[in-house]
Amino acid sequence: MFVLPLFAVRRVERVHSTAFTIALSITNWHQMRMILRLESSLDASDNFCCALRDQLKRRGRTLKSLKPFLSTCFSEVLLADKDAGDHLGGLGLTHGFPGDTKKSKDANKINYWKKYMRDYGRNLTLARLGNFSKLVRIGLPNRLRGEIWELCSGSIYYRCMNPGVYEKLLEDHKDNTSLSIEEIEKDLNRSLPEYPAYQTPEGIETLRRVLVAYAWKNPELGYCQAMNIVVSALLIYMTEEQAFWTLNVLCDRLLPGYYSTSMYGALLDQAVFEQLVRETMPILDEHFKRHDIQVSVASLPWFLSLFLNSMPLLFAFRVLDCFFLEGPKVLFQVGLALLKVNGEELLKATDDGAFIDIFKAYFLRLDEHLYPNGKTARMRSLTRFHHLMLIAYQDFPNITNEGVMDLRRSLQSKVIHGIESFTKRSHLRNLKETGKLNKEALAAVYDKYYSILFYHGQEGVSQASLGYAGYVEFLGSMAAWCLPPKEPEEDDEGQDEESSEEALDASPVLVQPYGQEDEVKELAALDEERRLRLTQRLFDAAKDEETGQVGFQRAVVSTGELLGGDLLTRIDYFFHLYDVDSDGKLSQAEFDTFCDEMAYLVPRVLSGDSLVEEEAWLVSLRDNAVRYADPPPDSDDGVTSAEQETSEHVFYISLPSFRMILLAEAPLERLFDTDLAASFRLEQPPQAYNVRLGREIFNALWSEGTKLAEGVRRMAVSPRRGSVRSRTDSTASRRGRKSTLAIDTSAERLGVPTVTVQRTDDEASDGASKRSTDGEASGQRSPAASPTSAGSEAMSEVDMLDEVDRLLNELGHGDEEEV
Amino acid sequence: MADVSDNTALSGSPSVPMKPVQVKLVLLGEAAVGKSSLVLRFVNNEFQENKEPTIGAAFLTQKTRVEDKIIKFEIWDTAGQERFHSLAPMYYRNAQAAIVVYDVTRAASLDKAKSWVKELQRQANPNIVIALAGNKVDLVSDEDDDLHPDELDGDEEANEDGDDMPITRQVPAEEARAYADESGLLFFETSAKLGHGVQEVFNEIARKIPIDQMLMPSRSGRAGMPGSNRIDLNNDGQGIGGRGGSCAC
Repeated sequence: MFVLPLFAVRRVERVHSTAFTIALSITNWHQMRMILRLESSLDASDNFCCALRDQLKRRGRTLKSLKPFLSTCFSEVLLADKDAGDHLGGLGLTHGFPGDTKKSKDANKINYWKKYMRDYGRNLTLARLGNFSKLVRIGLPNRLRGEIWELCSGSIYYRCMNPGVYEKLLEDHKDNTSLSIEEIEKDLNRSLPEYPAYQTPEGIETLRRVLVAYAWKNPELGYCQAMNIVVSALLIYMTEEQAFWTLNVLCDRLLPGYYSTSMYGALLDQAVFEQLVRETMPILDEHFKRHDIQVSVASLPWFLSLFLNSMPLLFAFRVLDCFFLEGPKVLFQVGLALLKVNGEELLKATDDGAFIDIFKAYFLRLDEHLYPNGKTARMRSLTRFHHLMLIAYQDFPNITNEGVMDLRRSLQSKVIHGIESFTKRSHLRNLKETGKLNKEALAAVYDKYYSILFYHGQEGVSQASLGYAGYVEFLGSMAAWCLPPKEPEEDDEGQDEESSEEALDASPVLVQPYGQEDEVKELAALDEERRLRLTQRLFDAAKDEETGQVGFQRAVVSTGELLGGDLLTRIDYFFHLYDVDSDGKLSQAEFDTFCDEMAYLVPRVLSGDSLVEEEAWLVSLRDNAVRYADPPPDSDDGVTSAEQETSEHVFYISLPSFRMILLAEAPLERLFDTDLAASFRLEQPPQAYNVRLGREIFNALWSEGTKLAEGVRRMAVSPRRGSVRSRTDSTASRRGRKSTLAIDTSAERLGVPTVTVQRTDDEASDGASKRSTDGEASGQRSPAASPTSAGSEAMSEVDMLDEVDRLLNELGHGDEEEV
Repeated sequence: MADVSDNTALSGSPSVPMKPVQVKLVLLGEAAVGKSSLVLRFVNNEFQENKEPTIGAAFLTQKTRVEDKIIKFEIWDTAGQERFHSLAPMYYRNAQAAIVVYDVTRAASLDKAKSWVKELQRQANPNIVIALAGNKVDLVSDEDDDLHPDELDGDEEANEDGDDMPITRQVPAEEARAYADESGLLFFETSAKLGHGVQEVFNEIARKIPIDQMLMPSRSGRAGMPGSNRIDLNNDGQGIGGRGGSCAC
């Protein structure tokens, strides 16, 4: 199964077929022809042909535009037997590749690949048939590693479809900076520092550009430590642009959520891994539980940095070869194999430290020979690393990408809940003031605040604090009176901000234009205007002077003023709310505003109370104000006597008078004593709570997961889906005659319409030989079909030695005989 | 690899072999303040100019002698980047000691250190011994009499910020010390590069650990009941924080 991008198709012809089937001959860019036999009903085949024709007509790129792209592929140079192309590759070209190329038989491998590519195509047209998987698993040759990685991961299609994007990202942001950029700078000198290229300014600059470009491509993720290690490893074999697109595929599809700000993907996969340990090695699991050993103290770094900072690089690259070929399941298989291979030792470990030391020691011995005195040369050449990979494939054949996906799905809610409650605890712990609120109230305020913040953050760049609209929504999620009445649903929340400003500008005359005809409407408008002024006032009191925003700390304190404390502190708070000029007393104008806004607040908070007849208490409030008002200030207050004379109604109310005036009115006393606080509803219906907190992240995870599952399906071995699909009959007798064909939907999303084809060997038109039939058979057999029973905890040594010979073949030994 | 035998770590090993007391110690602090370098200096007496960032956490051990006892430090060196924060409880659970590290040339790193201290005091083992270490004093050492100028060659290159600005101290020792005193922390200024103050931090912690109490109920004081304090990523309510409880406060 492989992907053939439509733009690499040169010609499609219908060829002779029986009455019941249609066959197509497809010629691709590299002048290879393959025959597709559609084995479904004629109708379906017709549909497929039409779809194919339409897609071909609409394909985004022409054959001509492929030329410049192909000139960036080393395989083209290789097959042309030119010596050129020295620039097509990573830092390894100038600074050397890790390991000994003689030992790894690089030259032989290159010859293999040359032959393979002549037979089965290269770069965009490469068909994964025959012994493709095997060739990858025996370890890729240095010069081709980068290209095969991007081919296996699918990043080659992104690179092909997005020419110039990488350079443009760097150009557009060359003068910008961000937290991520600073974090990248800190780590540039500490990424594979032992590799010579990263001791030179050029090498560092290369690494910087790729990380920086990605941080701008995906600002929400930005930069996570471990990415520096992964990218610096990629860059040994890949050009900057190749590494950049491969990093994209890693973050989006292969390791979803690993490097996100909460790292939920990494934590989730740890939970998945622990679950797999439980299922496959119950004795070990039991031991870990008994001694309180946490597997993830060792395994988390394996997954996060793809074994690159655990194993010697040479071996980590071999794991990477398999990982790009077969998807994330390889990480789990290798991880499980590590536990299994070290099982006896691990059973002796009684704490995390001893546990982790076992692996540290093991990794250093990966190149040791397992049977130095073995019977055959092959056996003697078996290293611990081979053994590890053998166990990974042989003892854990049931670990599939689909299975991993299922486990992710079933564990994600728990993991996310864990992360959220942790984040919540640390946010609450870091509050400098708790603002008169108790624990429960704080927790509830936290939930309200962050769910609002989250929804507002969705629209633009991620935010750390709320503006006016968000803050009102935040208050409104607790106290309904902060929000406009539900019925006239003319505005959505987003408009609050502007409308409030307009309202304030226009303030006293706003009522006018509505005229007298519609008294109800006029009242509603008046109330709305009061609401806007009141909420603006609350926001202004809460906001940070510098940023003009309300952060969580300020949200807590300001909510606490309304909801915590007691009668007197709340009255004091309102006094300060209306004391706009902060002179310690309310002027008449300030007090009038207070009365006006109370006319909005009181009936809403004390709703259903017949005592609250607006006129009565409001009139008496004003009367009392005049009665208890302080005499006009003396001249030593800085107010001139001339000012006093401007109006005979000028008066000032000090805080004590304010308290007295308010307490004289029963409705106001009740408002400030109990009902204002009671108007805040902190509890939420339980399911609403869950939905709010988790849903968005859930959705992100689901979609990422689904994408991943599809991506993996596309990239890896078994075709499962497709709008047109032939009957698949997997009996061995028919294998040679079958061809499967599917429109690749995921690739369409990338903007690369593709047809995926499984070509049969006996119909391969040009280069296919007898040899590839053998290859396919062996490819089919491993790893999934290896005969070991999944349940067997430990294989006896005899059994294993029997297996060794057969499997060594697939693990890269015995190549010499074949050459 | 990191485990050092009694003899190499101890000067004049005792004639009667003693059972070392295990002490779990965790290092916390902002990224690139030198946590790993402090450990490397203490364990191997080495310094690497460009130490790779720690992913997740690293684990090393070292024995040291305090008075008549041998202490085996089990050191958990954690990742500093903010997004790794939620993993930290996995490493500081059951820790009897912590070194919270900041960089004397970066004021913000002290703020982060303070927030770690706060977290440890509320979330970790209640008797945890915490030391505050202001690292990289070699970068500002012109004020320091203990150091010889010729040792300081090439210091400028060690600046992680990598810019051309002259490196200045941003956290005065007195300020950090005052904070440490007020919060009940041990306080040191260190240079992992020169080895300045590193041994002292660990020794002082070793002295401060209530070893006798730990020895009394045999080993049970250390790990607690098996599984009792286990962090279960999958357990509702516990979250990924080390301890149960529903709220932070």
